[in-house]
Amino acid sequence: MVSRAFAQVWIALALVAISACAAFNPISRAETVEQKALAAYGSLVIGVEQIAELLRPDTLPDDVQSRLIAVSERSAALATAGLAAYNQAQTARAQFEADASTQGRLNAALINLDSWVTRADPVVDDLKSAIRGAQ
Amino acid sequence: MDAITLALTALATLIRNPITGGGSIRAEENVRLLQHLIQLIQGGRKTAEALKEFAERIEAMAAAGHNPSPRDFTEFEDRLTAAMTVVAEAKARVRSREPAPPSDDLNPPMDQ
Repeated sequence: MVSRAFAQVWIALALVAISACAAFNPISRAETVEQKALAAYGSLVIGVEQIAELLRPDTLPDDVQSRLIAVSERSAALATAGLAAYNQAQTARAQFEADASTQGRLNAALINLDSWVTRADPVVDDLKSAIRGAQ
Repeated sequence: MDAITLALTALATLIRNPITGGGSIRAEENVRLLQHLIQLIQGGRKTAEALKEFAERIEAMAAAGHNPSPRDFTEFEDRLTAAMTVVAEAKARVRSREPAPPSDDLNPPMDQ
């Protein structure tokens, strides 16, 4: 049957695409909290950009588009929270450089930023999954 | 066009052709699904390439012992704003195609 043969082709090609996409994780290449924050933030943005490219021609079925839209909205909200956490850490670092007694505030801001990176990491994976197959 | 996309395009052409046993309604459905798969795989590959490039940028930053500057974040903030504009347009388009909910005005309660 044509359908069964093509289902097998589908599965094989989807696996190739998944392995190609899963190989790169910018967060794992970072060392400092700020580097991890940029890696997570940039990965979220790259994912949302790719979803936007998929949505732009309006050729995917509406249910697939709706799922992609929902994932991109969640990712954008998380990215915005991450940017706020980074800005707080930057402010705390500037205050610490001017007044060493604010070390506690800087530590708290960096812990908050690190916590955001931990929350963002699985969302980046979700984004990649959504783009790979929208299954 | 990469090898996978080329192969999928060839398959889509093959099953669309009645001489090769295609052309049935079921085969047409396969063509549609394959076309969507091509689009999604292309998206996945572009994402992989973009993430690979970005991972190399982060790796170089870590190797040099540099922290990112606020400008690095601003660059992505601008890109996110542009992408979400496209997403918002798509959302409005998809919503406009959704069936309207039943209106009470069209089904007034019947007087007994």
